[in-house]
Amino acid sequence: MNLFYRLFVFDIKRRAKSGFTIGYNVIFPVVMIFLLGYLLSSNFSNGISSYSYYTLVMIPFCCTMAVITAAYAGKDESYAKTAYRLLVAPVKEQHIFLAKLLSCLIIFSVCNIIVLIAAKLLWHITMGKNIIGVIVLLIAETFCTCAGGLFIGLGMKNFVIVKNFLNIPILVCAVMGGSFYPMGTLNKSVQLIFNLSPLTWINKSIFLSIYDHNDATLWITTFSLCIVGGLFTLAGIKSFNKEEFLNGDLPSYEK
Amino acid sequence: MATYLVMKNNFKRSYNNRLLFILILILPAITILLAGVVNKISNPSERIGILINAHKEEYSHLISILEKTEDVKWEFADEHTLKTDLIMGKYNIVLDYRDTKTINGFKALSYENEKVTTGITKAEQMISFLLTLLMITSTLNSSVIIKDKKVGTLSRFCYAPTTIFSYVGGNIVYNIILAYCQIIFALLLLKLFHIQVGISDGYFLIISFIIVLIATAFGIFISYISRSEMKANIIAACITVLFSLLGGSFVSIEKMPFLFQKISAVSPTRWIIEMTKNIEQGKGVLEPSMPLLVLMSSTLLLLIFSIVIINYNKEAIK
Repeated sequence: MNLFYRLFVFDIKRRAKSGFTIGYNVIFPVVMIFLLGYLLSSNFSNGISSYSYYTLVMIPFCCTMAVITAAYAGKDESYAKTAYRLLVAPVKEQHIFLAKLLSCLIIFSVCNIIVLIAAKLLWHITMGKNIIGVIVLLIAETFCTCAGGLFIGLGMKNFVIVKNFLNIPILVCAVMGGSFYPMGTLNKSVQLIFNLSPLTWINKSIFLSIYDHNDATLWITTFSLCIVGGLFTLAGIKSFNKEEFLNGDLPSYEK
Repeated sequence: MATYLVMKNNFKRSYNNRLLFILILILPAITILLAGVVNKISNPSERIGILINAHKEEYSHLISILEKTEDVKWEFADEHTLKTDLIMGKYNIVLDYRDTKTINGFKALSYENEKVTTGITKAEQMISFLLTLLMITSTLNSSVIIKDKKVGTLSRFCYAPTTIFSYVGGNIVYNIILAYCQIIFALLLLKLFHIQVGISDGYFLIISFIIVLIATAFGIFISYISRSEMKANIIAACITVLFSLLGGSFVSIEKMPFLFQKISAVSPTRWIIEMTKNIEQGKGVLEPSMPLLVLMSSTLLLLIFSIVIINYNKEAIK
């Protein structure tokens, strides 16, 4: 436990000090909310402002994009050339994985909450009565993306291939989920395609909770994200070997 | 010769990892195809939600009228998810028949959702999407430069009896060939699925070449200024999304506030959209025009900056 605690404190300090991560998870979403909210303000009416819409869809989107940061967080030791230290240390694989997971989860969740508070203060967005439920959903999403990212970074053999293409499917899922503009349809086939995007469900459950006071979808989505995150965690711990850190010396693993 | 060797070496390195190479080629094509399919299926539609209280059979007359109406899609709305459906754009209009069963007795547009009018055509949307996509993939393709910097290949090149221009040139040619192959592959897929781009194939290929040039210059520039692949990927994704936003992919330039119209001049997306607009209006794509001038000069500027940066690095290495 002491070893895990030390690793966790070390990782959380590393995450908190990373200006790039903080900027990417706080400044980027705020800029996006401002730009989209301002540019598309005339397209929203009847109970929701463009700023409210884009705050509620942009936070889950940026949260999903954090999968890339989490994947690279898994490779910290490889790039920092500290692999041998961890190899000889009496720490278990699950300690390393869980310390990274928890540190990413805490820092990214705090970033999301900061963006939510900033949006509330700047644009007076509607939060609804179940704001705690929305925050829990965002934490569950962060858990899922961090676990997924760490599974890619620590557990997958072809990390080199996957890391290059994470951007594109995330952007496609964001478009289908309505992160850039509402993408409603009555066409069953198109709706089926849209439903493949996790962001469709996350965004929908947030709106249902805040504007229709219907929390069932929110809790189901939260539970599903926790289950998927849990599976990624188990798969990550099982497939990760400390020796994998030594691959940081290989050219294709360059950070 | 050195340019050719750099290009050949880059292709060899990419091809060594065949799965990655195939993914590089097909992923943009699949993404464009997906966008095209969604665009094709989702049109045309004025989407109406009908709110009722009683059994659906009692509204058979209303249903028969709606079924006969062209360009209208409708379904019975659920009042428990009504606001969410409106916010997420499922319906443009909701007609409330809960208090009446007569056709003319509904509450006139009791809930109305303004249809999002972006003011840009399908062709403009497709071309701007292509530019956004290629700017990201070109950065991925250019990440070999970051690897070269890390493993010392670039240092060796700096000591070799050749100019640094050949290294930059080799990377440019490699990127252009790869990106254009991606476009041709995408066009073939679109043809296979009978999806129209909105402009003729000839114009599409010409405009795509301009897109490839600007995307290559952007990718190379980002790779030269980034210290890691992660940063290059994330910076490229953020900048392209912002460019896309300011350039008029979401809302046309004419509908933007004055200040944003001015700021949008820095976005290549704006100029590529204007170029597509010119084509739609029957003007030639290669005629001297402001969009062509801006795109070509910004491509040149990005490449000059890249060369300046690599020259600076070269001095630092030596």
